[in-house]
Amino acid sequence: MNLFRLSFLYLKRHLFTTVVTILSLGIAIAAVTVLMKLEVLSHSRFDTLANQGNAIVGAKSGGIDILLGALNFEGDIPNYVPQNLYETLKAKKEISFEDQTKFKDGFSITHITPILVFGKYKGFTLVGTDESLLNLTPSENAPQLDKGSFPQNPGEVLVGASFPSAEAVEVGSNIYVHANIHGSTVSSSAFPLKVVGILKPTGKAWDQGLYTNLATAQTAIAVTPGYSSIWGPKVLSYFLLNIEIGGEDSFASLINQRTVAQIAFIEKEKSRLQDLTGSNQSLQLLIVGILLALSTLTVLAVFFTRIEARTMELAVLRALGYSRRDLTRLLFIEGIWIGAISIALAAIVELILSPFILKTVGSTLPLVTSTNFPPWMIAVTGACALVAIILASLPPVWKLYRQDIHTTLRNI
Amino acid sequence: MELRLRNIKTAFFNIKDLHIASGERLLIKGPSGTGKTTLLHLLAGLYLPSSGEVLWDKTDISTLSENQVSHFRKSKMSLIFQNLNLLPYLTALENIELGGASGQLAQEKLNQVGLAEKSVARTQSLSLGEQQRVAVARSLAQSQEVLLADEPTSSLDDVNAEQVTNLLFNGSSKQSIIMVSHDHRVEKFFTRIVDMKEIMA
Repeated sequence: MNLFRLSFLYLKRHLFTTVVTILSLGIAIAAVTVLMKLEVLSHSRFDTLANQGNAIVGAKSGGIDILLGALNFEGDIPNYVPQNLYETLKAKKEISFEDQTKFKDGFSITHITPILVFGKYKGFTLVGTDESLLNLTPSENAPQLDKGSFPQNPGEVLVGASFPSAEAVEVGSNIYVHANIHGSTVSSSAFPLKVVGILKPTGKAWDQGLYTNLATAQTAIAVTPGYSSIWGPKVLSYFLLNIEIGGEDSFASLINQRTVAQIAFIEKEKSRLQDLTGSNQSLQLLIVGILLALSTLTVLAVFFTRIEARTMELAVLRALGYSRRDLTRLLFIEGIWIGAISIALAAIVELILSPFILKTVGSTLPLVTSTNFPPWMIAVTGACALVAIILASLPPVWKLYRQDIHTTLRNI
Repeated sequence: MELRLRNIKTAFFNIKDLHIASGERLLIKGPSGTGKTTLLHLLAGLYLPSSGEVLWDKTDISTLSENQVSHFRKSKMSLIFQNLNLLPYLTALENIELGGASGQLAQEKLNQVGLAEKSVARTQSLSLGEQQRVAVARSLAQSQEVLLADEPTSSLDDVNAEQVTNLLFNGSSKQSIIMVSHDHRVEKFFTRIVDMKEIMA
């Protein structure tokens, strides 16, 4: 009888133990994979987070939400701020309020770019903006034209570097998109956008954007069912700013206390996010570590228990001429059977569990893409789990090598 | 195949010289606890003496690796254990296949010991006598140069004991059979009968 058949028969005829072992291993591997995915995703945002300007103005919400929404295109469609505020700041005009308070001095804005997020298309974010997008500072990792031009006319779009390969489009192609508005799941009817330009790869979230001019974006949201705003279609989601050093406090005071908007200083919010993610990562790593330790101990315990219960069987096999090497192979083959089935089960559990967990975590994590969580990571996880399970067969093998066949066969 | 034990010292007994010629049928008798099973294990290379030589065809097995001993045992010896030692989760047929026999040969041997109907029964569901016959069928299927049998008829009635012993001795005349047994019914099949006291130094 060959060793594959013998190991298969052993596992099949000890079905309850085998199933319990596979279930516990499968769930443990799935849990580790999900936690690893969370860890990778929470880390990946720092790689893709754009690093332009030093402040962002958005509707009142958390600073981290503004940071991730504007520079990583995360989360749902954000709330709006009036375009007037942007225009005033851009024109460096004096800002007057109804109580006669006026602001002009105290800060200096050297760069300002409008952003209006107005929908998603196959994982890419639809953004209304203007040509200042191509002049962001610092220029490193900033969007730059590769082909074509910035969309000047209605219905034109400039696409991020990831888009042409993902969707097989080129300059001149048409795509059909839907607009979405803040706080609603209703989309506009599909409308065409003609690709007029392609950006160079930046390795940042810019690669995941589809950029049209502000007029096109604002027209699109204005005709989306349910859209209503006191500012009409003249709204923005964010504007990216570069404020000269020294003027931040004065500017923050103006925006936060006297307008409907809120300012988020990029470095400060990044630092907060890193602290938050860092403590979460530590917790995740701790849980992953505990789970791994528990899984390894479970596998070891299972394998030890199995070999304890099989001392007579292994002695009989030795007496029948199976060498220690044969029996080592037998235990490894059983480990591979259990490992392979557990990993397949883990993949299924992970597929079911992952969306629920990611949904629970909510918009604080970027969407899973092949870039931030490539398939090879799952393959590597599976391979590691298999190797770990096979390695867990080693201590029982050591026990096997020390077995006294004579004593065992005599039932002493 | 020729077997020899020389100047053996173990925790249970000492043996100065025991030679078993190729094709010899040797019955070892003796009271319980005198080391008969240990002697069989010594001959099978399953138990190593403190000192002395276990020779298989003039080769001292202490000079062989564990793999070589296992290979040698698998290719030259078949064993029937005192405790039968069948794997309870395997069927009667699979237990015979465990010794290296094909499914067809295993079924044939099972038929010979009168258990044709029990081929798919798990051995744990068989009576002691039936298990003993499965163990015998396994050794028959192996059909090696040396058969080491430890009380193979102890749980069998007269008819089955006679039938099983006939089957065991029906093999090649070159096959050496070394059996430990208290069963007087089997004595007539042996060319040499020795008592453990005579063997021990």
